[in-house]
Amino acid sequence: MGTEIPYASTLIIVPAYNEGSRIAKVVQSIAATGPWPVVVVDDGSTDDTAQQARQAGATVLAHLLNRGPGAATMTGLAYAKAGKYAYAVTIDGDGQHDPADIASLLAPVVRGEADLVIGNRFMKGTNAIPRSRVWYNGMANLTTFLFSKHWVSDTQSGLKAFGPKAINVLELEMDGYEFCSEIIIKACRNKLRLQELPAFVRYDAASMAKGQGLVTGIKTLTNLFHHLLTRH
Amino acid sequence: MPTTYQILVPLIALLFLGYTVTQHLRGRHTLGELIFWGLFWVVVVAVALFPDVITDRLAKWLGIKSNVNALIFLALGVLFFLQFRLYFLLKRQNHIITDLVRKVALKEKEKEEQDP
Repeated sequence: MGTEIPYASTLIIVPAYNEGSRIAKVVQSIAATGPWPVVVVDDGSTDDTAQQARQAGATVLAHLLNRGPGAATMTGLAYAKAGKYAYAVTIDGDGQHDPADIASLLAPVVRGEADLVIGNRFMKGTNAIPRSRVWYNGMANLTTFLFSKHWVSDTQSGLKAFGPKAINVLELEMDGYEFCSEIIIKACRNKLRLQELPAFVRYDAASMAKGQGLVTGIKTLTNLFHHLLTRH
Repeated sequence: MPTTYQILVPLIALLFLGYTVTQHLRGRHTLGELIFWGLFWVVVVAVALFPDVITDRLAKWLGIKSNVNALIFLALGVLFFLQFRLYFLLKRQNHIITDLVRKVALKEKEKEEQDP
């Protein structure tokens, strides 16, 4: 692609909750792909997530209480905004994403072709995605489309690249997993340019225990509906 | 001659309506919420002022004979309103807590960076 990657001005945000056993590996695998500044937002973990992340070389922002992945992501974005980072990339703390995808996601943002790039798990044919995730994602896509009038085929991906405009205008209000849809809806309302690019994903027993299955997904969608219909 | 109930219910409904308008003016309720609750209380007033016309039709439609429906309706209205208030209070508190947790996290980091 030939796009020069601005490592120093790109903040890698890793929201994490009780990922003590895996966070060090995630931070190290990100560092192996380039000299990015990495911030782990420890979302009120009861284990040693913060300590492990620090030892692995990440900057740690510590939430005193567990507020949810949306709240942790927003804290990371607020830190990026305050630190005058031009770009930001969010990546899950459970190791389900491949940090090698960061550069390819960032490239259209750096070239000025997009303000928000979503790492799409379904565009990579080799990904083995559990059926419950596929079903929930389909429902979330439809709900997101209803409010954004923009079709995104992987609305719930945690791997996203943000350009300067996205970092400045996106103010997330939803604390839970609803934030994935909220980002897209708000991006569309603010006329941000969206792109989706293939991204690798790997599920194991631990990552399946977190995130959104069909049942938690339905709860998430109910919250999203409620919030969007009664928003201030 | 209006009955006590026909005076009392519209007065209570007006109080709630006034509360909803004030909340909207303070930016705590959206226009959609104001319209929804405004219509709701207008219906309550209408039922109180013309109980026979409305409740008889409603009772006929539902297959219930008693005009007591109006009172049940009012009671439900009050419960809905309280539930609605609680929901918004909870939502606001949640938002404030998250905001506070975020500010503390960012402030702590700022302090750490200034004085490592």
